[in-house]
Amino acid sequence: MHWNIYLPIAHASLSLPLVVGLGLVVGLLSGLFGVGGGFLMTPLLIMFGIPPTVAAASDSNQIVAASASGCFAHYRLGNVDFKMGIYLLIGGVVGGTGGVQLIKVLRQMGNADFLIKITYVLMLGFVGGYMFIESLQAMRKKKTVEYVQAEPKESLYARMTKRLPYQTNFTKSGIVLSPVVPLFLGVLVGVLAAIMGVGGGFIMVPVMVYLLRMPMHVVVGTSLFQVLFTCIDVTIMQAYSNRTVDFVLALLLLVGSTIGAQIGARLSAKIKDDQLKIYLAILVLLVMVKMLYGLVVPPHTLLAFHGGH
Amino acid sequence: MNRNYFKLIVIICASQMIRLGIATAEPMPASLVVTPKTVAVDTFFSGGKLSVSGDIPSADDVIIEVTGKDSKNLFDLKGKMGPFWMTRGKVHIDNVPGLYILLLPEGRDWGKKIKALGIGFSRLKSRMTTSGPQDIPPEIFKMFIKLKKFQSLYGELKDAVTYAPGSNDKKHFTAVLNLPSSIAQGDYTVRATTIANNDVGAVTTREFSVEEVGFIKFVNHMASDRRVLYGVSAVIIALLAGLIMGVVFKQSGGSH
Repeated sequence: MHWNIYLPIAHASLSLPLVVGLGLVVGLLSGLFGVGGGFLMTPLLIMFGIPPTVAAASDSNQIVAASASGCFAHYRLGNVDFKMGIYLLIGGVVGGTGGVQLIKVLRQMGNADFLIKITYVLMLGFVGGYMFIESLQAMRKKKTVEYVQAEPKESLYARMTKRLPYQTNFTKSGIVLSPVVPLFLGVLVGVLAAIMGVGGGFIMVPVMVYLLRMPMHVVVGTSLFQVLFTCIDVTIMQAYSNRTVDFVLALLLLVGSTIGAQIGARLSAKIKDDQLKIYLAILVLLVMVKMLYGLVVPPHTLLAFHGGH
Repeated sequence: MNRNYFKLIVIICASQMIRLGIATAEPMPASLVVTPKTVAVDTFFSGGKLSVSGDIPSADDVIIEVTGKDSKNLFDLKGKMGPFWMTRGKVHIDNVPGLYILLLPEGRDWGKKIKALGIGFSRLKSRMTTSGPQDIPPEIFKMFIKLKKFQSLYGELKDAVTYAPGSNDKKHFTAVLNLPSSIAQGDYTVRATTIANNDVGAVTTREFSVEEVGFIKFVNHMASDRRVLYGVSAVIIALLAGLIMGVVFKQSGGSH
């Protein structure tokens, strides 16, 4: 008996254990860090011969399952700030719609694929590098005796956000903030997510941690909530406009990813915040290096099907 | 009047006899059997096996070509700018088949011979047309073949046709081709060309088709003709799967 399965939209045959295994690994990361995993899964699927457009769209479909599973697990743990999530989501939808128009203009100008990749590299490098250094410093500080517990100096960003109107209490996150901030940041992440073709979890997580100052465990659950709705939107749009959602591929991936997400959510409760951040930083930096490698190493052929990444 | 009729009948008979005479001088075509007639793409399809067999005169050879319909293709051309490899332009490559696999007979190096006979990639090269807004590199055909070979959709397979003794001064040939899983749905042609006295002889063709069946056909139908329903169903199933898995995990020990 062979273990291959035919994917009707991708028009490719893949090993069944391989697809389920990929889902499991990416689902684990999703539950652990609150990222959708699209930034990791899509390149992996392309590597195994799935057309890029089908890989991205089908991945969105499976992220719906993984993030629903992860979000549900985090909800039971009390780690989802729905109020914050809804503000970010509204901003994300607005930004995502604008981003789709922007990418159309970029494609007409040519070389949009290069721009997408270099944006990936820069974003991943910046976010991963910053998280890595910050988490490392935080871990070192905890090891040394804290001599002085001086009141930290308030940054310009913090002072500006305090001046904004409609200051609201986000009880779950334990912060008081104007809804304008998550709305604005949601728009920014939405634009970037649309350009880069991902759910935006790996950008949203650092934004919540560093700009919204939310506690890491609430960040993971809330990010999954936002990723869930973004990917529902993307799946329906891709199925309608481009016919690129391979349901069979998504179904197999989600078998693995939903299990992985549950395991990840449990693991995340056992790992300290700084450790969690440093692991995510390493993951983000590894993906960045992989993408940079793809940009500087000569491709195996100088001809590629139009529309690929 | 009767005499004129008689002359006409004589002329017709003579012309038919001349035609028959020429026909007997023509190379004998290969008998050709292709199985299956339809390759079914089902849920567990991982490529299909195509068997080609027939009989040819014992002194001849046979070369088999398996080709798909001509397709229009748009490609991105990559180039280096600074330290980065990026798309530098677009190129249309037309009048080339979606699938082209050449099966060569055993016991001989056919590399130069097929080129001289005008069979194989060289024939594709002469038919191919390219167009694009920028200069098209001279090695575009090589690049195209490399890409298609990478997808297993193009190939020249040595020693793929084997011979066995036949009856009445004939030999039996057999070839088994593993069709790639990436083969597109549609009609395909198997073309058997006999090679007699180092020259192209008779050509015999047979058709076969690749068709999606069962669940695969249903999914494609839904994705094409019921797009919104397909998208919404995919989301609902994913949501249910995620939530069911969440409940299953809760019941199997919980995470608190």
